[in-house]
Amino acid sequence: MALASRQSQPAVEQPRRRFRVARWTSFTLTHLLAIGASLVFVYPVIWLLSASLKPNWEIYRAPLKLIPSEVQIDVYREIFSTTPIPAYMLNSVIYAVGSLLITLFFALIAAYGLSRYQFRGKNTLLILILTVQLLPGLVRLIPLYLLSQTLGLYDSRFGITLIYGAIAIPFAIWFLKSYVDSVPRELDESAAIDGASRLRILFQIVAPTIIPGLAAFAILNFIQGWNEFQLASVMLRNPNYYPLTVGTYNLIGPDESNFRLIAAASLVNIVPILVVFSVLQRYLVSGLAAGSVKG
Amino acid sequence: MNHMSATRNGVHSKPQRNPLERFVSSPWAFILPGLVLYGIIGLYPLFSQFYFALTDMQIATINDANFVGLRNFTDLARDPQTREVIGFTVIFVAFSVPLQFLCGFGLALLLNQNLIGRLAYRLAALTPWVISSVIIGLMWRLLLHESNAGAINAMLNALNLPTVAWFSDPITARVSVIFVNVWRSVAFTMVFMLGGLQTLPKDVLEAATVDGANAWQKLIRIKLPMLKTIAGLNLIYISIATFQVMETILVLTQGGPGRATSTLGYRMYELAFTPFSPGFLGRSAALGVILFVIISVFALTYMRMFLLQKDAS
Repeated sequence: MALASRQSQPAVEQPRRRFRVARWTSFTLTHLLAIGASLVFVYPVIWLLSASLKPNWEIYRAPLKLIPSEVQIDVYREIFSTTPIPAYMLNSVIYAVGSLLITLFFALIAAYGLSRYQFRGKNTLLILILTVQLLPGLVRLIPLYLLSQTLGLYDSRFGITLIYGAIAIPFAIWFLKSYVDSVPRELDESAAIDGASRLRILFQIVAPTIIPGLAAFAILNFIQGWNEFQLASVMLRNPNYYPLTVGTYNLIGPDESNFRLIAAASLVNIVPILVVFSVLQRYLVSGLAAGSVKG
Repeated sequence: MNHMSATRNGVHSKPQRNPLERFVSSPWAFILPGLVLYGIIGLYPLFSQFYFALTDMQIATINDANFVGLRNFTDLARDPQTREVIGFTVIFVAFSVPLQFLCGFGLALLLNQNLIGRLAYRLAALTPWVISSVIIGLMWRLLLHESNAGAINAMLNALNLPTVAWFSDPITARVSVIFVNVWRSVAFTMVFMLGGLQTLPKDVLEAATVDGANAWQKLIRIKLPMLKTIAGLNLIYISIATFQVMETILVLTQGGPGRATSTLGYRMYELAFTPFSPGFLGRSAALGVILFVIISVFALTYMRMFLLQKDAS
């Protein structure tokens, strides 16, 4: 088409070519910018991997090389055989999955109630649920520390799981309600005619149709549980109960001498969650677009 | 919303006899369990903080705490460290929040275009968002290491620039802490604003293109005005989060050198729960009350903006 127009209308040729040049420049520039921005966020992790694999003598040597001259995995062997990090990982999984189940159960039934019923004060309640999420979790630490001792939740696996599960409820209600809203009521009603109870309608009819939303929430919540530090560092005293974040921090502390160990231990924290995220991100991307910003 | 009235009497309208049956068929049977659990663990502690702030409670003597009135607050007011902490909190929020917003929004605009490999760039930018703040702190402690082993100093070295002991000097320590915090949280603003950009009506933007508007004009005249509310909500949200940043500071600088990088949130944690302090719960709770009041102002503004936006749409 470009060729044809050039033959028939030579007068237009000049500006059009300039336009094309400008477009190619902006095309190249935006891509370079995007690649540069990506590197700012990814390079530190790649560098960390490289530092953890280098032999000790190479770490302090200028100039910086990303590819180690020989690959040494002894720090990783050390981490997995002589430190409690594998046990910490298991704890993190238990807390993240357990709290996810608690949050999902309570928030899903609440989201269903808020979606399917109309009652006085409902809008105020919804706004309150939105607003309480903004209150500072950090401020909760001291009273929660004291309360957990009274309730027997202090220094216990169940305690920390329940606390994680409970504090995520308002966000979960808000997030899941928009999905429940999108399920047509006719589905509920026809099931009700068949004599199904409301809880059965919720778990057997509504929940399966909003699996993308549940998946998006599950990923978000799992990432949060896996990464949590503040509460766990306060609520758990027994090192056997430490999740990976607290365990890693206490293993290293303010010590900076073992450069490679810090790098490797950090990567052991990062890699599992990065894998989970990359495998499941498509649920998250669509879920975020549908759920969070729309409110 | 006329379907709501249809369900007011419940999907199954059985005759309701005793109060228990009435409760089970009411919406509260669904809503209350979650709200009660959250109320006990999430809300009650937030407000009981106000009481603990009036006691001299310490970790070692939790059961012998005495009511001391406003002494924690007057002590804080008299302590010269408090002024430093508040000063850096203001600096920290005033630099972090605008930087995070501008970088995040810029990234959203960039990655909202049709790029080859767009998903890969987006995922790359999301990397810090999936990593725990503590681990980000550990990671940047290595990257900013004062020796040649730190990647940043190695780069400066390669450019024949002098290396920097980032965490030893108050100014560079502050720069480092703010930079790492922005690096960590930019992705959140990006996701938030990408969501906003995707809600813009395509026909309006196309019409502007047809009328000869360039990219800059479209940004200033169309996108920004339409995204005003969502940008405001994001700014408030990230301000609230920035006031509570604590792990990054704990791992990078422990609030030092001196008090140079201590924010209110970090100091609150440090006073109560770190080995650097004898566990002053009461005084820490008093800092918590101050933080709570500041953040409530932001939270209420958020709520108002949200309601206005809802009314408008």
